[in-house]
Amino acid sequence: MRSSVNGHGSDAVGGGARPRARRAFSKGAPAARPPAPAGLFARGLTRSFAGRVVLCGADLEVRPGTLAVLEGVNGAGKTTMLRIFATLLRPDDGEASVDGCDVVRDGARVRERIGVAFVNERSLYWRLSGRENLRLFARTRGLSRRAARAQVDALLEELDLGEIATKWVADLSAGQRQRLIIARAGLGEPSCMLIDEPLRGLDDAGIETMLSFLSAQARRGAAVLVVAPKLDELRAHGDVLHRLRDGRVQPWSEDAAAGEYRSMRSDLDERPDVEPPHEVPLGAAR
Amino acid sequence: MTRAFEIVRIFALKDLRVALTYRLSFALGLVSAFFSMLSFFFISRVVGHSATVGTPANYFRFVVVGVATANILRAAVVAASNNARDDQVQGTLEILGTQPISPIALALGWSALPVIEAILEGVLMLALAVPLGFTGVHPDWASVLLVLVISTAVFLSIGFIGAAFVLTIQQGAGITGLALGVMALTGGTLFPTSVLPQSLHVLTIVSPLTYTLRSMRGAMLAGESPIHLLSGDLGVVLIYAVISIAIASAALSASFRFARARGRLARF
Repeated sequence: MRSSVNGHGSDAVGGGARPRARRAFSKGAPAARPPAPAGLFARGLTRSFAGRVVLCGADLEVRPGTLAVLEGVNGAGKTTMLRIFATLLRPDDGEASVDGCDVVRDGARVRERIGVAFVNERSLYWRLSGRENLRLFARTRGLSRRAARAQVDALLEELDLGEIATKWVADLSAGQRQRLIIARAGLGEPSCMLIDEPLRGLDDAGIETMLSFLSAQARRGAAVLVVAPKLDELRAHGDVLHRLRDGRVQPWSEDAAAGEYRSMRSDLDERPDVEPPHEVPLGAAR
Repeated sequence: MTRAFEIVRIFALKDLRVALTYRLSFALGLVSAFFSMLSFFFISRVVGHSATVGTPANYFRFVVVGVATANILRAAVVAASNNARDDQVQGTLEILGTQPISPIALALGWSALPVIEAILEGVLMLALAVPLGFTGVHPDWASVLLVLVISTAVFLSIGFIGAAFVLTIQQGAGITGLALGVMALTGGTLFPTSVLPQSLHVLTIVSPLTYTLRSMRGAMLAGESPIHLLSGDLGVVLIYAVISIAIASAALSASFRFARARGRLARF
């Protein structure tokens, strides 16, 4: 079941100018095109902001039952890609779909299928408890009162939030809020999950709980896309590893990471005034 | 439709839970309603002897119905844009944008509790007004309800257009404030529109508040029947409702599309 992705960029857009009137989502798209596969699918995804190209023909596929990790430096376009899948941002060009539903033409159906977690602790209602927040969003996802209660309790348990579930979100720690946000993404057992930096602000126990939760979501059949600036602990848990460089998705490999590390060292060796990094990136020293 | 009502209920309950964490503010609202009534009572003793309004009792009844109704409609106008702005600034709007909720259902959810609160405050105002002289009225409650439903639809729609501005340009208070200001002056809440100069009469004619207040006073003070009202002022309000609901629905959907296309749901 676990399978993978390609990771090759297309040449949909050249140059830095934002393409105008090149939307691939017009209603007159060719009828002969094969249906998009289940899970998350993007082809030739391009998006720029104020003339700066962030995504440049990015391709990605995350199949059901897969935990895919997309690594990239700050500003590489990881969150932009998540936001396009979440119907919060329209691409300039290319196509993206969730379970075969186009993110632009079929936004309402896409939203029924996704669970989203961004790094934004303000996305919770701070004067409600953790449990009240989750129940609210469970109901907005269309769960019955009974199903919402059962699922919220299970998620709180799974993410080790049971003890603080009755506290106001305002009184929780950053790590607890982070777990609550990820728990919310699991409400309604969405077929696709879009998770932004899930390990940020978590302690060791929290990281272990989170990784176990994300793996469990993939095991139940969800296509899970996690984005993060560094692979860290995600490396061992991801079924598929990608990197986002120069606006395109590439397969992550130790060789590439080691090459980048060597290049960084070499640059620093030529500058004796700069302290070289002590921390060896994962995979580079192996 | 059932799903929309469910969303409205969910958001009303959420807002109620949050409102109950500010108990003092809720209590102060009730106290201020009492003082408002007292103020209007004393004002009625001063202005009530004019030829325009007749007796103090006439003016008191006139202004109580006007203020109670206008407060409900004011809540309907500002609720959606205020709550949309709150969600925008708090950071919850973006995650709401990923939920399977229609824009109209969300806007109704934003508006539900403030409108219910305003209706309860209106009932409280009437109750407080009775010992001060709000007597001798013969309300037709079916008419009152009908006026409330139709006029609330109109003013909610104006509020939804304000919310559409919030989603598009992160500002909506100016639009709703302008609409409320013009309507407060020309709608006949505190004084009869007949005292306005001729140059302002055109605003009186186009303001839905004028017809709403005339209908509500007819239903509340004179006990006019629904049929009678619908054949007159309430019929005009109904036409406003049909047009404004269509415009508001289109504006709200377009504003969500606009914000999604540019990734602006999180921007404030």
